[in-house]
Amino acid sequence: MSDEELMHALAQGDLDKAALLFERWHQRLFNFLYRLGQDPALAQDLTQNLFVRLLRYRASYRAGAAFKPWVYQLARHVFYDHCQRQARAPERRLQPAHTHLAEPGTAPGDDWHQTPDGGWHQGPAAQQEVREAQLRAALERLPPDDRELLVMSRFEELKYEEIAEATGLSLANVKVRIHRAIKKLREVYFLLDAKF
Amino acid sequence: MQPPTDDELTSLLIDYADGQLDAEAAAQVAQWLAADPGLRAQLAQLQTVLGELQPPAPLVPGPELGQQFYAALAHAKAAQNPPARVVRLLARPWQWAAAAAVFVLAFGLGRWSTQPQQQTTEHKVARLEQEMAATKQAVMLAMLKQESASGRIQAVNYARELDQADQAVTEALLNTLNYDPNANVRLAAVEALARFGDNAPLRQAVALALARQTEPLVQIALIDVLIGWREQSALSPLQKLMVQPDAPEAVRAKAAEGVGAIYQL
Repeated sequence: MSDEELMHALAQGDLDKAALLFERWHQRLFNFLYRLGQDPALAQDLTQNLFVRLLRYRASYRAGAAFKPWVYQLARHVFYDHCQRQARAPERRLQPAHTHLAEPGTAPGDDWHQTPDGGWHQGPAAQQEVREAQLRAALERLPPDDRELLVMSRFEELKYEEIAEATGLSLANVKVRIHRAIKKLREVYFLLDAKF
Repeated sequence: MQPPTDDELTSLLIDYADGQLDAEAAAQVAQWLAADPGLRAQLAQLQTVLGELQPPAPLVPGPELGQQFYAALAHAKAAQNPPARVVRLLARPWQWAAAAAVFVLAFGLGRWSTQPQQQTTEHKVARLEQEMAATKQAVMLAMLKQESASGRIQAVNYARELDQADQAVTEALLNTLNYDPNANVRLAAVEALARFGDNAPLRQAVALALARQTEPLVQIALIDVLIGWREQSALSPLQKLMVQPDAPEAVRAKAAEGVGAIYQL
């Protein structure tokens, strides 16, 4: 059965279908909420809240509507409701929780190699780690709305149409905003380049 | 063609890097790129950033997420399927229970005596037994709604006598364990639930119920049941209870015993 068929059956009262939807989607939504909040314990609580809401408001699912944008919309509401309850702006919730950056030259990790002249150079894994840290740092410097759009588009791999449905923005607006966010990300990423 | 604005140019470059442009637009962008080293540098940077924007390795949530979800689902199912018709019908369940059982038996026997001979006796008896079991179960569920604690204990004990119990019964017992205000009723529910050790989701829901309990007798009885099941999902609530400062010493010791038994120390 498709997600839409399962959700329709659930909306009609067949609660067992919720278990199938949970098994299909919980890990993905947990990761989405983790990327928004950068806190695994919070992401777990919010994923739990999300599925409780899915059960509670199952009747609000419109037959035939695409499940994916619908459930992402639910996830966004859960996240932003949490931010409101905490009386914090999303900006504060979206602060970096941690980075895994190895400081070049000071803390060589497993993938650092000593050269004959006593210096250190990075292997491919360490270089990749530095690039990921640089990207995380750049993403964290973007406004939360831009970051959320990039997470949905590039990490969650939602289509522009699905993002438009999940966010309530027009399709044209989604595309413009994502492209502007990528432009900003490029600028920040290469500004940070010198520091990494 | 008008020259594109800065935003439009970036948008075109992103689509170009993503391979999203049609042939005509891609050719136009390629032409601009050939003539403009600055644009080529911009494209190279975009390609670097877009190349890095890949989904990171996913994290795996803890097992308690699933346990909590299935407990919530069991609760939703219990709320969805209250024995509503029976409850409305049976305002005073215990008195009506006997009447209902007699009615089913008499009705069944009446039909049995008038059925054509082709139906075997075994068939009819099996059907009657099913009807009786369903009636008993409905009565038990209705009795759990009584105001008096003694009535609810009677209902739980009645559940223990059922030869078979479907999900509605186990959910009602679990609900009683979690939410009944009277400790003696909850204790009776623990004892009734002990026979369902072969039901994994129920075992996990019972393990989660431990955290809700504050009455030492119920806690100790519950731990005994979880030990009997060797229920792994009980480890976390037991470990918390072991070090809970406001728990009585006997309960903390029992929780420690439970952890040891489940780890098979």
